[in-house]
Amino acid sequence: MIVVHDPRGGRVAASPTLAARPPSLAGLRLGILDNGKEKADALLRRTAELLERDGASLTFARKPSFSRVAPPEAIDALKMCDIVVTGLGG
Amino acid sequence: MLEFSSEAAAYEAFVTQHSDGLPVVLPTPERVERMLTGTREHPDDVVGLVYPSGNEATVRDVAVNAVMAGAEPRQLRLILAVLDAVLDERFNINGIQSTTHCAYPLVIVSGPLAFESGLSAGNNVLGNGLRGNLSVGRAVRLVLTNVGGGRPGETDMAVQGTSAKISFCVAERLDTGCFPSLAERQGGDASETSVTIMAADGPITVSDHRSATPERLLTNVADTLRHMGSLNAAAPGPAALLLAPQHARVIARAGWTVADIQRFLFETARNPLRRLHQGGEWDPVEPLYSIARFGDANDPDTLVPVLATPESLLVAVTGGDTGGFSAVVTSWPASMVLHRFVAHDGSYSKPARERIPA
Repeated sequence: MIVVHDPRGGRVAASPTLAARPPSLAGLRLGILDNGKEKADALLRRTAELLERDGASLTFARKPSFSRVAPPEAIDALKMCDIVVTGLGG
Repeated sequence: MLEFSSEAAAYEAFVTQHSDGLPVVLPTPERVERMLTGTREHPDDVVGLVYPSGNEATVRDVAVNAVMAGAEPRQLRLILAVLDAVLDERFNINGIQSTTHCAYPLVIVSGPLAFESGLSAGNNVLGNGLRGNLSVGRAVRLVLTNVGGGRPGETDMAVQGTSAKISFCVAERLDTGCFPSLAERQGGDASETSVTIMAADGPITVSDHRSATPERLLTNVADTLRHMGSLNAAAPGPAALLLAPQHARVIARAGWTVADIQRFLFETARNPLRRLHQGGEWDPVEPLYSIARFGDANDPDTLVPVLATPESLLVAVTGGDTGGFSAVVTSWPASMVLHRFVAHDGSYSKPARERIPA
């Protein structure tokens, strides 16, 4: 038997878990996070249109740079939502 | 700790799950303890959070990955200092690890500690065969892979990447007498050593055995710097010029300083708007910067620099004395160049202007 150190480190951040899928969108607050890449807004706005038809209300946030994490105000706005959809353009 | 039934089983698990794709040295407790003799930092001290996983890297975790990379204990102080900078929020390692671009930290070690730590600034400095350089760069790679969770196709979305992502570390020549070292230009004295990092493209070779004047030589460098495929062409930012000693001598003999090189290249490494309209990443609708800083936005002859300022160009003399081949390294824009000073005892510190007064 051989014992070696774990190269991933000892203290591991909690893994995020996905929320349960809602049975209906009626009355839910829908957040959209546009990563700022080309055409992401076209794809996501069309997605939002379809989801709004099912009764969700919309909050739209955009990352000013797709290479950086979303700004705090965008995160704060999305925290108020029940569901968030994001996607890559490019 | 991880337990395996045999050394062969451990080796197989490490090479397939905890590696950059190359064989690694197994981090046994004895090897890690020996590696930790290379620093006075406490093994449990946190160097930083490594994204995208967000896991903590302690000094011990770095030592474990340094063992795996084949590094020696005397290189740990450099590796820790590099990671202190790499994990600085402003460097944006989350973006670098996950971008579709090929970005990776270029490391320039400047000062006597480079050579005392077994690094080289001689022949093939960007290539194979130099264990110290490769081990330092690779230790950073393995921390990013193992602690940070940067995995190709899962979190590391680089389309092609670059071989520089395995290791990209050079030492600076201190013996040519051409210019003050990078560490000195950063405010240190000749006995001090700094590590400098830039989110980089792979290097591009600049061949020149004919130029006898700085102007002719640097015109060649400027043309390489302003190539349209680089993101510098779309957004002026930092870049590095790794100057061959033979080229450095051409420039220094004419009485030019590093500031002269930076100024000349800031002025000449430019693309006219007409060229930016013809190709590349420049976006005429939403340019990443204000053209008005450089001239009339409607004039196709307005010249746009690839360097944000003259000082945005890192200049370091490195490589063998056997010819006229320098390297230009352009950058990834959502980051910033950072450096740290490293002491002999393995402690490291931010540059004076970043230190918070006691």
